[in-house]
Amino acid sequence: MTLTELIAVSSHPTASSGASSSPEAYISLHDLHSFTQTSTFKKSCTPCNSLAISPTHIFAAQSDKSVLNVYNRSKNSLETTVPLPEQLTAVACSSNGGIVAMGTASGRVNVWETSSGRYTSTPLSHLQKITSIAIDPTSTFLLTGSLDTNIQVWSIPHLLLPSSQKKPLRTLEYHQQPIISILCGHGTGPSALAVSAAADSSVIVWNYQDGSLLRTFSLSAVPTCLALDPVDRGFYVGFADGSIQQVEFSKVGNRTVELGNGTTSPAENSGDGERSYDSPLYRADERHIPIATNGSGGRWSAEGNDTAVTSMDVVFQGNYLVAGTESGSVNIWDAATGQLFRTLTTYKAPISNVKILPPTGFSDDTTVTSQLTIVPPRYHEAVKASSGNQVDVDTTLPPMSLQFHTTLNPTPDPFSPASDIEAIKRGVAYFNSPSTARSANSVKGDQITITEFKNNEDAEKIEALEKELAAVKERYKRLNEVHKQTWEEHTKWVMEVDKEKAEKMKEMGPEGMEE
Amino acid sequence: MGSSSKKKKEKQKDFVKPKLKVGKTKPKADNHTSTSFKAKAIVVGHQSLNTAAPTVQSQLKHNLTLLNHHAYTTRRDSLAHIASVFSSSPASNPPISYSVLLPALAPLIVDSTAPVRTQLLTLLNSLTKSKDPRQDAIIPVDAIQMHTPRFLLYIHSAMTHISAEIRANSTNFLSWLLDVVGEEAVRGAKGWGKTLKCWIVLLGWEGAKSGQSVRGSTIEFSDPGKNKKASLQHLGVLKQFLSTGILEEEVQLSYFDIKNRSLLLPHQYSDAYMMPKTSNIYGHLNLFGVLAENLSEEDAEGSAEDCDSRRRIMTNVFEGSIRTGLQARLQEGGEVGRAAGAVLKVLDKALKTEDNEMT
Repeated sequence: MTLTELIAVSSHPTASSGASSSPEAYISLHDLHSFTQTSTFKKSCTPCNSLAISPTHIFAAQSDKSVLNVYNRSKNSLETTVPLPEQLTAVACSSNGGIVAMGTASGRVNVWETSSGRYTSTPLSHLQKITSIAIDPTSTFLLTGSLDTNIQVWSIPHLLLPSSQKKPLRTLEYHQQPIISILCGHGTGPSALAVSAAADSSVIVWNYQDGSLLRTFSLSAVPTCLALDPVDRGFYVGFADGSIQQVEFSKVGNRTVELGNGTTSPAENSGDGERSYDSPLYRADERHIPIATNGSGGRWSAEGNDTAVTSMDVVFQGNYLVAGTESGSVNIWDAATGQLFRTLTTYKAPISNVKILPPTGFSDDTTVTSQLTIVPPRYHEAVKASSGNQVDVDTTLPPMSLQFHTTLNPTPDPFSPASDIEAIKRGVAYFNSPSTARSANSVKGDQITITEFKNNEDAEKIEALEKELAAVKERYKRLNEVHKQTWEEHTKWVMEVDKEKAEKMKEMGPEGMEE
Repeated sequence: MGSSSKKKKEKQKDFVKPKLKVGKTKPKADNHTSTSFKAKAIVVGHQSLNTAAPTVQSQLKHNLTLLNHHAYTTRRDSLAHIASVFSSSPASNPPISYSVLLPALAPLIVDSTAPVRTQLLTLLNSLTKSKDPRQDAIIPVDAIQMHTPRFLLYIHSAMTHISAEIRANSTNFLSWLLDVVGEEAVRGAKGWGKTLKCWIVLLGWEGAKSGQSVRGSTIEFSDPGKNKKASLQHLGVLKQFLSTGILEEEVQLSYFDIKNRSLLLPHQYSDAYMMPKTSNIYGHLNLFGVLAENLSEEDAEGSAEDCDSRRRIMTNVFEGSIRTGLQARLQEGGEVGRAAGAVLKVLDKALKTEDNEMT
């Protein structure tokens, strides 16, 4: 099994050198293990945090025009440009490219479902522009961080429901300065983490599902970017002087004791006599003690690399960290030793985004259906709506039940008992009528409301139609009777008139005939 | 009246050629100009107009580019300059990053001229100073560890080079690498299997399987004296290589260490779940590499992460040829024979311990 791992790098020349028409502004894809460039997408001036990549497409917001460029990866060309009412400042997409979330300069969040073209936007819930946006691995939650120092957690299915209140699930307020970057961890359920870095030189780790703050880490300088280990063992922070710091969750916050031969061991809790090996992140009693990260290990730096680090990401194996700097060089650092390994490429403009794509080439990749066609968002309603109003989602489209089915219940191995049960369930659902299928769908959370909604609609329609039909029949019957009666009377009257005429004729006899 | 003869004579004088006399120089022409002077000038070639001297960094960068100059003297001098700069600067603040320096030095292992190679070896030794326990190495071992694959690549090509001189010096570099990084150099597919293959080519034991006699070394040196010295050196490094690779030393775990181990980690495999401590920790899985098609190749280049798998590769693929070759050298006698005997001893000890463990 040979895998390939690609990295996408985008550069963003400073505004003075003429934005997207300059040849220095482009997005390029490189192979991380053979260090070669695989493809380039020209004329894209993408600022920080505004690049999102799905298995088939690349979504890049532009800094000079309020458009979103959509590039097709298999054809290596620009597919569409989506013009938007407002300038975008942050873009993120779900792991299979189905949902694209965009943050605007005024604090609004727009969500676009690429397979159907549905588009919705929220009211101005953030007070200032949104600086960073992240979607969790199950595509259920959306986190947005903005200059107004708050982080808001939204539920994506809730946002995409028609006519629902577009409010965030919760707001995480603890930072005192603008948020620089937010990242979602790779775990789900109780191990779900979100890490946020802010300009007050602190990094906070949250559990976004219940909104609790897990731990605060205080840094020695203002961070410029953030990267997370592939299995959430720690995070990396980049600074303005080109140095990078690695913070490992299990190694900080332990009071250590220097032993004779230079090794350290965690101190035993005084008084308890018990050793606690739980991770510093989940110690409830120490939650409000910020961990200072100055002493534990130095920062990594290398000669000749003293421009600010603008964007970082960690390799799939977790042993290398790729960092893009303001001077245009993309460096690879070794995570275990802190040494600079090599420079991948050098651009002529500052790097704005570095994103490592999930490796492809696994043997079960072919079963995942990927999206090939993008439907541009239909947001005419959004254009008409004035600021502050909610925008209703187009209800004529079928609900997007497929989207969540694949992410919440991934298809298991075909030979396992779980897949047999799935097949049985499907058969049962097929043979049941729609009204009783409600009870069979108890597993799929948010889908309940959607299917119920659909069944109610249909039932109502049928009732209405039937009523109409009955009324019409009634009317017809009555009309029919009336008609019959009038006809009979008419004939009677005609007959009487005739009779009178005939009698008159008899009386008059031959005289009448002569006159 | 008439044409006076005076006028005639004057006119004729214009066309009179002076007679050439034998043994005398030609008379000078009327319009002769003497150009016998030399103007004195100081010619300055490529002069830079900076008022400040070039910085150490820019000089180093310039020297690094000079490392692939066509003249070997320039290359040698740049290496000397680099050595002097690094010996005077402190280890914690290198003037240029090691990730730029080390990849530039590696190709010189297969340089065609001897002075450059010797200069490179002295530079590498001074940079690492691994044999000197009192002084810290200038370059941290981590930095060199990261570039081990690159160095191994050039060492392999040196060991199988057409030119005999390069082959002779190749083992010096292998010995240096083993001194500095130790086991890292023999870990992984490229380190163990490929290097053993190169050894067999170097020592000319390609055809040596059990039963077949060793044909004469196909890569013969012309000078028998040199042949012997090179052979001796090769066998010495082979011994070092094998002892690093398959000879496991008994590590005495002190009581202190054992106690510490239980304090530090709640589970014996907790280390695997922490952040990696060695570079390229999953390299042996070869997730992103190219698949080998030839089965025996795959066998030889299989995972060589720990001592046992290296021993297995050794016995399955290489032992036959190595043993017959060593026996042949043993019979030659003299210094070479003694060295071959030492290598055989190491081989037996390493493989016998495995047998003992298995039984």
